[in-house]
Amino acid sequence: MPNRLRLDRALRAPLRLHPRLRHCLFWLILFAGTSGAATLAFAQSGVAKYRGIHPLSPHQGRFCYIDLPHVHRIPPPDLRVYRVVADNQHVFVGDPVALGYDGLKFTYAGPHPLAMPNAPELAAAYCYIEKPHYHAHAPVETARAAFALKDDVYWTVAAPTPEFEKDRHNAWINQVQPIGGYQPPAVDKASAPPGHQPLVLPPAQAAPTAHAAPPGRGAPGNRPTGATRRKGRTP
Amino acid sequence: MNGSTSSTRATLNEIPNRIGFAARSALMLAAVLVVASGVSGCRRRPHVKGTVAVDDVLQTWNESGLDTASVENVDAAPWAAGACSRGQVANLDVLMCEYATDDSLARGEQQMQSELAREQVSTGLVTRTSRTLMAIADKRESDPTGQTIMKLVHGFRAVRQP
Repeated sequence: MPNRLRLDRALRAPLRLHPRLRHCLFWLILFAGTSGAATLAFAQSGVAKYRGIHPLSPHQGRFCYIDLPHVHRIPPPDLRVYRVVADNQHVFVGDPVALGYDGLKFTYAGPHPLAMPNAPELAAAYCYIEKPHYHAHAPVETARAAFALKDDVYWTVAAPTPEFEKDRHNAWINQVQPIGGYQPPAVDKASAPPGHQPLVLPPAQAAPTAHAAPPGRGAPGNRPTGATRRKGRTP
Repeated sequence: MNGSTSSTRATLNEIPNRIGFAARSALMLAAVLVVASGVSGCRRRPHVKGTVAVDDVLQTWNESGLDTASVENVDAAPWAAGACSRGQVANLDVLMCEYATDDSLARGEQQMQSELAREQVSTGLVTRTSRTLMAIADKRESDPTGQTIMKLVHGFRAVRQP
């Protein structure tokens, strides 16, 4: 076969990756894209925008207690504990005590609706911290029905919405290490109130493979394997 | 001649009374003006009616122990405002402007936000009460935790709205 044809076939052949590698690539691109977007926004504005209290870079114990929209010269060093809302504002959604906060705190038993008073656009979002943890706010009034307060601990009593699984990538927050000396709240799961519905992420579904279709036929959207594809016609 | 001398003497005798009357009148007029100014709330800075006055904010800060002596009037035109004052309080740069309309306030807020971004401040914020804007900039990392900034904000927001 002429070299020109070999090169042409090589360029036209679809990129085939191992499903696990494809899965890892997806998360890598998502993380890089999120960081890149935030970095680009910072580069364009000269300052990073925050809404509410948050740990100070490099998240080693210092904390910013400004409880309204403000800016800092330094952008967030770890986006796993933030959500980005309107106007590229970073809202801290992690456990503040774990990163040095020393103020009024509220205990949550596990994952829960975020229900933050200073971020109404996150009304449908969830906190994915799996172990008992703290926040600097109680659930907003409009979301109280999803919680039961027992022994100063907020327990979820409502079933999760589709957003809980849709935004499951935010479960990376569980990889964040607290500062030295952090004491998590002591919560006995056995003392949960009646009606408590723990929020648990189902296992992630494996991405469909390119070989799922029977030989000789392509599933909708898949390129047929090994066949020459004519422009405008599906073999 | 004796008649004219006595009349002249009488006129001269009346002069101290007339001077005293003029002085008394001037003092009374000054007193009235002082009282009237106190009643009307005369301020040492320009003020836009209908919004929180910078003077009142500074007084609130003074009462909480903050030194506001360096805050001075500045040209309000760059901020699209009716009146502006600027200075340092607790080693933080503070700018306060009073506005007559919501449109001009929105323009002024945008200007203040742009300045914070342009100067890449360590910490900064713009907040408002009524139609008075306040921008605080920490350029020297004097308040990394923002607790002094929040003290200024609380004082700013505590001023009674007109």
